[in-house]
Amino acid sequence: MIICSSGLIGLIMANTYMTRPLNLYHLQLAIQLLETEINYARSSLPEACSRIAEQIKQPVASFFGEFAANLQSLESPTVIDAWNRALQILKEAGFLKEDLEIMAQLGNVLGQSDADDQIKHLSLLQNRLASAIKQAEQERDKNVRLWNYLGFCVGALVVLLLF
Amino acid sequence: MVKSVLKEVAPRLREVLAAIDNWEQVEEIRLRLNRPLVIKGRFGEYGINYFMQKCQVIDSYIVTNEDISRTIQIMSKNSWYALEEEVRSGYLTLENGHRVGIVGKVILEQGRIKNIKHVSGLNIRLAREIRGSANQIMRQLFLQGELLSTLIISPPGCGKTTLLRDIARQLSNQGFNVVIIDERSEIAACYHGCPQLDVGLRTDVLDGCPKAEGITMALRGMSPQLIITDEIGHPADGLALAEAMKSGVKVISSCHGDSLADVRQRQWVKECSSLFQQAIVLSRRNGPGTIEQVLKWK
Repeated sequence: MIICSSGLIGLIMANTYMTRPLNLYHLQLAIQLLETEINYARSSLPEACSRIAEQIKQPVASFFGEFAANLQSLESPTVIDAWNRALQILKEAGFLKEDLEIMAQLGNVLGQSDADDQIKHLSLLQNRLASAIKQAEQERDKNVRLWNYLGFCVGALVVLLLF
Repeated sequence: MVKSVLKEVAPRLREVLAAIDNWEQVEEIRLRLNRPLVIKGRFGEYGINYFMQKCQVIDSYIVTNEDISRTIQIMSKNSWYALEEEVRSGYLTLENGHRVGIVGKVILEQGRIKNIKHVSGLNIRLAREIRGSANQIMRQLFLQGELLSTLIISPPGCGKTTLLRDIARQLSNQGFNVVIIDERSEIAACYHGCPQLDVGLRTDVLDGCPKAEGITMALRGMSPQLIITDEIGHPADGLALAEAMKSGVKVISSCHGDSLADVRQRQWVKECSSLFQQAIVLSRRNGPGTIEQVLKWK
């Protein structure tokens, strides 16, 4: 029992290290799509974001879906408002605080300036996400195996100590 | 329909504008930063004070930066970048056909207008279609059952555009294939390419298209019987219209001016005036759209 549960905790911890780079990667992909939408199609934010929501994997899809829905449904919404509400979805999906902070900054500028400027902001965000992905990958490589074994080992140790 | 503009302004302004009780006569709502709100129309102008009552302009609600920036955010669907083209030309068209003129600090890039920053004024021009506004003029458009190519001459604000729209609607519903070259998106008030006002069953609209090129495009692909366009002013427009009329397509077009003599001096007229079959001069004497003079030269 003890070995199993503590092993499970270890696996869950390992899993969070596994999913973070993947989630960030999808987020980066979505931002890239948004950049394309703005650069080539000049689509408005609600239009662009609901299209992105259809193309991308969860939980990033529901973030963009929610953002687009907020822009359309709220009573005269501001981007920052709609964006921050949607960020709750990423928070619940287990995104780290530091990653959310990177995203939150975009909410201040999105849609407020001409296309050249928007594209600059979006590529900046992509760069920051890329370095976050790199960091997340390093952490994953370091920690996944550690947690996988650590859980079971600690479980075994506790059992040994008890008897 | 006119009232639908309320959806497009900042929440605070929405409350203020609710005091307007004569929507049918309002033509413009003018927002100027740190200056009084002005409602303009056939009645002249008035303001709305902080008690939400009509008043003199001088006592009117003072428009704040917040009002203007929120209004722009709503109008642009929070996507300013998507409107670059429109902003560059100085106005945008809203979903229900209303048009908004924009002024502010103009940003140049290599001598060309790139964008407007720090918007300081908005002029919301309410779109309204006056069905039947062309009723009087319709009779003049035909001679022995044949449609005449017509030049409509009028000073600004005499209802040219409203008139052209109604002409398009009526002739199109009578069976003519009509193409509107709507360079300034005024006639059909297209939003995302789709006419927001009734321009008739058989009318195609080239929205935002330069007139000279649009006329050639329409001739090539849309087999029009009638081309309608607004405010010719460039020699190239004249040439393209001449081309159209020579190939047997009728043209109804408007231009700014007080009289035929006034218009005759313009460059573009030399290219095509002999091909127009009549000119109609408008004025505002008995309200917008008063027919002042009809000159047939056929």
